[in-house]
Amino acid sequence: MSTTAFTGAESVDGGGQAPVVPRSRGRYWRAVRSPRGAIGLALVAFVILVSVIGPFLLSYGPFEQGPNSLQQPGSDHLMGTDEVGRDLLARVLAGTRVDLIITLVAVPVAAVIGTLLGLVAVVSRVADAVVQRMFDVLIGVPAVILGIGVAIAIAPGMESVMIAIALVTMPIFGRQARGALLGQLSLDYVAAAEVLGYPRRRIMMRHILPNIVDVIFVRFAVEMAHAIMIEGGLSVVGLGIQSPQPSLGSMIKDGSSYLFETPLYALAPIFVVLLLVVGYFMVSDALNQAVLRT
Amino acid sequence: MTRYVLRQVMSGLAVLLATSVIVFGLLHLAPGDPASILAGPDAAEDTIAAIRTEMGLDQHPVAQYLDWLRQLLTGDLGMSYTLGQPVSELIGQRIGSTLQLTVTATFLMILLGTAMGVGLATSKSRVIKQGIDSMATLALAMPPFVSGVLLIFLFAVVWGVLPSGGEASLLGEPADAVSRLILPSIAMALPTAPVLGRLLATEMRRTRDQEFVLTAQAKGASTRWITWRHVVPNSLGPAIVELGIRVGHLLGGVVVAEAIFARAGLGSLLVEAVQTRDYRLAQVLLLLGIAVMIAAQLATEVCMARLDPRIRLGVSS
Repeated sequence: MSTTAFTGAESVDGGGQAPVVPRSRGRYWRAVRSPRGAIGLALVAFVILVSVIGPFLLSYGPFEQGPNSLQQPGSDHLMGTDEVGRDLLARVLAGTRVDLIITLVAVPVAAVIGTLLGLVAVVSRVADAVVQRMFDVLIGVPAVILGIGVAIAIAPGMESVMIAIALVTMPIFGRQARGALLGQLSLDYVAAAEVLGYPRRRIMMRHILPNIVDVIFVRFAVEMAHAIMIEGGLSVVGLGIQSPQPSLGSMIKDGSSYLFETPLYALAPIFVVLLLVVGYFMVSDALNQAVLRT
Repeated sequence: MTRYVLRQVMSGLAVLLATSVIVFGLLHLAPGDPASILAGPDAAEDTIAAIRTEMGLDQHPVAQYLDWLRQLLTGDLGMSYTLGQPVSELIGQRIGSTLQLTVTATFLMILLGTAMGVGLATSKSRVIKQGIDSMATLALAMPPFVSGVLLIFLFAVVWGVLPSGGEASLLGEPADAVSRLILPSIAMALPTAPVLGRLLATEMRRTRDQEFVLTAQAKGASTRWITWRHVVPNSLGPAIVELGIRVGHLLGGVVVAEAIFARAGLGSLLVEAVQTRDYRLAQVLLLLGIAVMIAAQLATEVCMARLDPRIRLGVSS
């Protein structure tokens, strides 16, 4: 297979192998400097910067209604207006911020919890079996269905989307961490630490964990993209972010009713989704090459 | 073999039972009291109480769960709170639409995935390989809601060749029905096909180095014959496993596709049920979805066991 395959294509079962070669200091720097990593990072940084700085340059807020609904792009409203006369550009930027906040909260939380649950594998056989079964079920259920379940339990909104994202991505981190962990256990340095009489917890936290962190980082980029997709799917269905709060998904949902009148309404948030997803994929790919395959 | 299948079915049923507890539990976590929602905003206290008794909501949750389970097992799916119709009747009305879409999407997924995989593995031209690979990458970056809206924009808005959504009876107006199936099923198949394609391509490269391929070459079989008769069938394993997972995941895709393409299937019924807090209906639909998903995974496991006796005998190679 050519190396262009994005890591997103890999099956979630492919337990990540942590590198056996020593970690070089500049490995993340090298990933960032590779063309793919640089472009990917630039795409994500661009979206973040524009969504944060943009609102200060606009004369309309995302909730401000105007007299002209579904107006075409013009000098007043750069991207036109939506069905109640709100500035589309302002709403796309606000929606992007909502997506960034949701994913930046949910995915790190999922990564930490997932990794810890994955590490349970060495602690107890029974606990490992229980955790793995739970992961099986969570991975088997489609993200949207899982999200709908969450939306039943607590009303749909930012929290329900965050929980759904965390539930979907947590087992993926867990599997990845567990796979990497089991790969490390047979290595000499672990045996050496045991011979030195270090307690298990110290070996785990001080020696093994730093060696599997790379695997989690690489996965992290992919899961950020995944999380954007989950928010989009849930909001498009109507059980994610609720009106009047904009998000990329909810704007695509609302905009898709006006594809004939103002196509930018749906296409602009789609463009942002693609920028973010492709950006994250490229970063993860670069990390994968520079960090894991040294 | 029978024993293996039986064991798999049992474990599938165990998972289903566990999820039924979770799905039932969601109702009790849910905000709002179903009885007062059903009674309406200004119902009297005793009306609500009467409805609660009628629905059995005043009983202990465990008793309610067992009651619900017993009803489900005897084929009584209950009544929808808000639509006032039996759940089984509602499912009957909507299932056709969802079935058409899922079957078409699965078929397309297999077709596109195989074409992509064989193309990637056998093409000698660098340009073609790179082309397929870039397309696969692009498709992977597009979840169904993105590909769906883009397809509507291109085919319905810009070129005006296909309808933007809705559905028609497959028996009544077959041409119309098919034309309305094309875009949503492509939208669903597109993000998953490249995954299958890449798995197939990787495995095909591995298979090609095996001795039986050399034997076939020595016998003078044509390259095409060897590819389709020997290499592809022996390389399907990982792709089939993935297919089982992906068919389950199509159920998520179908909910999204029905929302975007305005189709009245089970996915949109589920969304309506949750939005109107018709939890009885939502529970049954969720459980049905999970049952289908488990069945799909079961089917793949049985397929794999048939293809490779080592699996069913529990021997590691």
